[in-house]
Amino acid sequence: MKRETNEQTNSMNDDEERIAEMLRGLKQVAAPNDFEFRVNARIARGRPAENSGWGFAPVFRTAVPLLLVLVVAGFLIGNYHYSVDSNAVAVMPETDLENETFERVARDVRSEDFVEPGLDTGPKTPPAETFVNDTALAAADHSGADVPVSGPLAMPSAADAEPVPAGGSFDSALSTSNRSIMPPGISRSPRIRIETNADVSRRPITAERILRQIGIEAEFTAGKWFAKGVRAKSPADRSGIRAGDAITAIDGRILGADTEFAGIFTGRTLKVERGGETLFIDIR
Amino acid sequence: MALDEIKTGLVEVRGNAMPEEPLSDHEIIQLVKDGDESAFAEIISRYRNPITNYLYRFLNDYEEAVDLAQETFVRVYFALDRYHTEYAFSTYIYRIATNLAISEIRKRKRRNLFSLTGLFRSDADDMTEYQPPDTRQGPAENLEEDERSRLIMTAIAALPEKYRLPIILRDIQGRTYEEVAEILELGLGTTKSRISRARRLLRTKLEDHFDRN
Repeated sequence: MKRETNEQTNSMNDDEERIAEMLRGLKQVAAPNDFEFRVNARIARGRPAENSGWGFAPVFRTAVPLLLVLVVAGFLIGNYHYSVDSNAVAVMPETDLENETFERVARDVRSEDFVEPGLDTGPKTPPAETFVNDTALAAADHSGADVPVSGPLAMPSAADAEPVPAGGSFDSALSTSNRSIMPPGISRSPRIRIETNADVSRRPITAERILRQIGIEAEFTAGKWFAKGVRAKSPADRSGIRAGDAITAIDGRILGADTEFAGIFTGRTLKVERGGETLFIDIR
Repeated sequence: MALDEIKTGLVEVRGNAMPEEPLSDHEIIQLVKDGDESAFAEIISRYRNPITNYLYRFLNDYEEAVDLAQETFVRVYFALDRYHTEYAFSTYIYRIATNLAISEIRKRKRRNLFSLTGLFRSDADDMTEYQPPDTRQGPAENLEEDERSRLIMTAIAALPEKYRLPIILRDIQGRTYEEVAEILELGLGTTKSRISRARRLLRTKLEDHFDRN
């Protein structure tokens, strides 16, 4: 057995030796005649670039444009979706059906509204609304019962009222939205919101556009925007704006002939001059 | 006397050196370091054929081998300041050539990473590393090799890199085991075992050829 193993080893060594011999017999390949010249030319050109393993230059050449394309595509897609969502707010209702939709949207905005005390500057007309006090809320929260609310702002109309689920809680009281639970002095009316991004044509947000958005057909005369007419059931109409009123500012921002806003415009309180007196009217 | 006056730039710079005794690699390197540009020609002259042959046997592509051999000398030239005489110069230059060749092989693999030819390899080649075929024109007339040589080259090219390098250095280039170990930065035992394994693999691949002869 041992002899067989030795024979195998010897045979293997013989084979290895034959292979080695075969390789040694291979013809030696010579360098071309201009080898030295070409080496010297390369040396004259300067130090070779270090070999960077993965070769980052080609990677960057591919990755950077790809990244740019992805960023631009992402921006465009995101912007498109954003525009589609925002159009619901920005589109001016022209027909009754659209007007109703607009009001519904306005209510939705109101339900998502939040308090920004900084926006409520200056004197205001006292909001004709009823609020729910903390005690009632706490009781509702514990009992699971709906919060009793009343007042002119409780619901725009009975038909539009959203059903409150039985056994509603504090959250349901919030979600039904039209009921104000804010303390007096802080308006719960929907703010004006216009976005440049929402407009495909990227029209600037002019004073006229803002006023038209809330239902006022305005004309700039004698240095002021005068309401020529107020569309029925529009936010301006609901808020009590009348034809002949001069709207001079929104949230302290004076409206001039060429006033334009960039990006997103939000506002709430209109400064109105009516019959020699100045009123501050919240848009509802 | 007339013959004495016909001296190359290299010999003139050597000054008192005896022209009959060739300078060692280290001495020539020292001359280059001292500013004798022409001394580098002697280095090129000594190593251009062995390095070209080594790279050709490894890459199986003459044009690429020549290109990398030139690159090897360029790198040697620009790295002379960092060269120490700790190792033989031959070991140093072979190591540079080896690293360049390995980089080249990896570049080829990356270039052909998504090549369909790589996906339909046969399982019989599992032991071999995939290398894209050289589609360029064949080498010059000095590469005319017989059928037997081409067979051997194909078998060597099919060896995994870790076996191919040592067997080429040992059996084709004629380096000692110690030199091969230093060039490849391996232990002596590992080097010997890889060379032995490489020969056995070649034996298997060339079995038919052996049997015929």
